[in-house]
Amino acid sequence: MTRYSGVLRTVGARYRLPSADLDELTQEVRVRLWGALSTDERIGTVTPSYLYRAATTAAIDIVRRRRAARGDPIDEVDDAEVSARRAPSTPDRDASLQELSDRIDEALQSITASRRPVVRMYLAGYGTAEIGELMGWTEPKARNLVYRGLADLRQRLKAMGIDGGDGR
Amino acid sequence: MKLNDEQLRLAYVSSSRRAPADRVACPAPDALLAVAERRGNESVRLETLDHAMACDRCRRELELIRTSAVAAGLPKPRTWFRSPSIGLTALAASLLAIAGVRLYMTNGDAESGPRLRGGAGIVTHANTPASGGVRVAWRPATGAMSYRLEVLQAGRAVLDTTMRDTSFVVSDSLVSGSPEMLWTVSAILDDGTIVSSLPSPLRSPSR
Repeated sequence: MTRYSGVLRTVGARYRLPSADLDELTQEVRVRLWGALSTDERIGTVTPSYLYRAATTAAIDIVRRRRAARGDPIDEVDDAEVSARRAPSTPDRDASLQELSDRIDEALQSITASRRPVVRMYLAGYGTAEIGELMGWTEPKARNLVYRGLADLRQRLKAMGIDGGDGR
Repeated sequence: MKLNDEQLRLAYVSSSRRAPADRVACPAPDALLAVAERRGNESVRLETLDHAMACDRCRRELELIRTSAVAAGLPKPRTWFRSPSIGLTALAASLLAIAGVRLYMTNGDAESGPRLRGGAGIVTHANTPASGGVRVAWRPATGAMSYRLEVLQAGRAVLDTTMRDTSFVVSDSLVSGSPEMLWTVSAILDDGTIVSSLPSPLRSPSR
């Protein structure tokens, strides 16, 4: 369990998971293992597939519980990485960024469905290697789809009167 | 104003929270698990992912499930390579290919000397000092529509830019005083394929 917690923290940091979620997940898995196996010795001998099932069902149950509960805590925790990328706030800047963001959302709706999620991931800060890892693609394939999707996005933005640049 | 990738990203993440008032349109938790496990039809997973990346709540739920699954040891998807006979055949073919490439490179060196600094994809030139920084350059690749230059420090990209030119001046402020840095360039070809150079050291000429 200690080993799993350590790996969970490392992976969670890589996937930008807030520490509150990590704590909840660790606790949920611990409770499950203790409830089912009772002793450290038995917990220490669980097979990888058993641990995998326990971990994934714990995560799914947290999600279900949150969806069922009112006052979803997801809104209350800000994304630290996104916050760090934001420049200092001013009313004019916020308004123009929000307007541009709305246009990007609008433009995204019109690009090829297979490229759209990839472009969203890229714009949200995911790298091409991570996109490929999540989809089971090679990194060059993910990079190619991002490249083509961004070209589509820029074309749509240009049609809206916004020069989306050429990626330089 | 022309927008580069970073400006597009900044505008995208600066949006007010993308969270629906209710969860009616949100995919079921099991669909998010299928994405995390890379299980099921790819077009369905892309559809789920498209929603998750446009919905802050689903994105965080996906990351929660994904973290849990990966930390517990995500099962490897079944692929043809896991068949022992095909795997051995593929291994033998790979060894033959490596031997062939090695032979080709040895012959090339004998004829023209060790002038290639990059991989088979793109040939890079030695760094040269330039006003305000270090110039990195490479040979044009046939059919290249653009080039993506990445400067890496400890495995992380500290510069990532796309251009049509075949040279770029990396600012001294980025290079000076930094630990060992590497650079690599990839060409995006007109048929959609990508070829890359091998990473090369990037050093300030003053050092």
